[in-house]
Amino acid sequence: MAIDASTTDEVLLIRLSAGDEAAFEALYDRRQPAIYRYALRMCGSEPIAEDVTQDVFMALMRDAAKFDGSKGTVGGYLFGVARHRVLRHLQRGKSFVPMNDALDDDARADSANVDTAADPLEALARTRTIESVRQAVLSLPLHYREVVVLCSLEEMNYAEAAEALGCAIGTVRSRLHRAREMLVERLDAVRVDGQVPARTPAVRGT
Amino acid sequence: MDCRQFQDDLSDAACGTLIEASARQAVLAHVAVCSACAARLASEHALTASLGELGRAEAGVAAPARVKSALLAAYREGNGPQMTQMERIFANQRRTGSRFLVIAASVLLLAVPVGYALWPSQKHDVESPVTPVQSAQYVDSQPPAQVLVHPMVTPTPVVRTQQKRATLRPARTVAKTTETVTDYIPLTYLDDATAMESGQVVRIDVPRSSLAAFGLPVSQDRLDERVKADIIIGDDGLARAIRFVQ
Repeated sequence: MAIDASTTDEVLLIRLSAGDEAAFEALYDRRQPAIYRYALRMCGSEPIAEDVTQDVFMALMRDAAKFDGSKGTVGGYLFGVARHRVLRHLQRGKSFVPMNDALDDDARADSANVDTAADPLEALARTRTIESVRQAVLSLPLHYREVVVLCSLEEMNYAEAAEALGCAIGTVRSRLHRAREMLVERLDAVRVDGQVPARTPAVRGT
Repeated sequence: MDCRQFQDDLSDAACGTLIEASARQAVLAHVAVCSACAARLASEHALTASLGELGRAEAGVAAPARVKSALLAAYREGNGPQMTQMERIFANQRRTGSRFLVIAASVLLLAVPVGYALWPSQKHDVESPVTPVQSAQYVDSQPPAQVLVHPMVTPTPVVRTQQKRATLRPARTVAKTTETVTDYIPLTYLDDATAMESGQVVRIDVPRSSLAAFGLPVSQDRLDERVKADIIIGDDGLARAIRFVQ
């Protein structure tokens, strides 16, 4: 049976657990970018993000047959595993190097995706804005950082984020509210004195 | 609506999250008469725009292709019960990464002259003290005994030509292939207590620069390439020895 965009994650999971490599590849291609970005934005380290991505899909291979669709979605499950791995990395204190150091020049240029041809000054300002926001997000305490990453950057709704984080929708909403307040304060500070937000320790709860 | 109620609905209103039309109207009515809250709403709108810009800028960011390659290889090798073992190997690779550096530094000091002297002259030496072990699927309980009797000394990169036995890899090997391999190089951080009774051999891809770490010659302009290597893994998940395959 052919795999296309309409093939659900759950079907792919069943097929990969039966040894269908194409199904595994399709599910990986579909879900990997968001998992990788989540880990990268949480840790600020490409090697850790790679490790986490690898761990998540190794866990998927191992536990595919045990997945219970009645308890949640495949996407939620993957983010849940990713979150667990990210926390473990952060708690080990391996922690991160600054994302702007981890990204090489090409990757940074790609990620900034600046339309340099249009207006160089505007492009420069935009690049700075993006970098400031990236650093401000990375400077948030962990619980706030993850709701911003999931809801504001990955554009999950509250229910999806709640499933990934294993908490109530109201908790996601209130954390996001507080996180945005903190971001506004930090970005205002950047605008005033041009300082990049200071990072918080690797693990800090609320 | 007062300022406190405004705060409650602020993020939803600024994010464009679905909120009731009446609530949105109330927010807009409040900011029309409260300059502080109007400023806050403007800040929230600016934040939403900035986050959106960051999200769009990083929309194409994804894991490098090598992650997919490694996972697909693991899927093919370990489809089923062996996956746990594969996971241990990946974990072990990472855990022992720093130890490899220490080992590599010490081995490098001793082995570079020997490696350079022997490598070109013994490319077709078919004699080797190591029994070739073919794949993780095949080797289940029989370790290459030579690893245990190998002295934990400087590796001598004896290279030989080896005929693979296709029958050992029924799932994937369809024809005999010729490989050139080094001897197994014991990992010298291990002591007697870690001698293994059984284990598996797993083939992986490693950077060509790893050859230098074990005293084998490598061209500077090919450091970015990857080479195959077989790693002997004990049942405890620790790597015992490595050989390189060409």
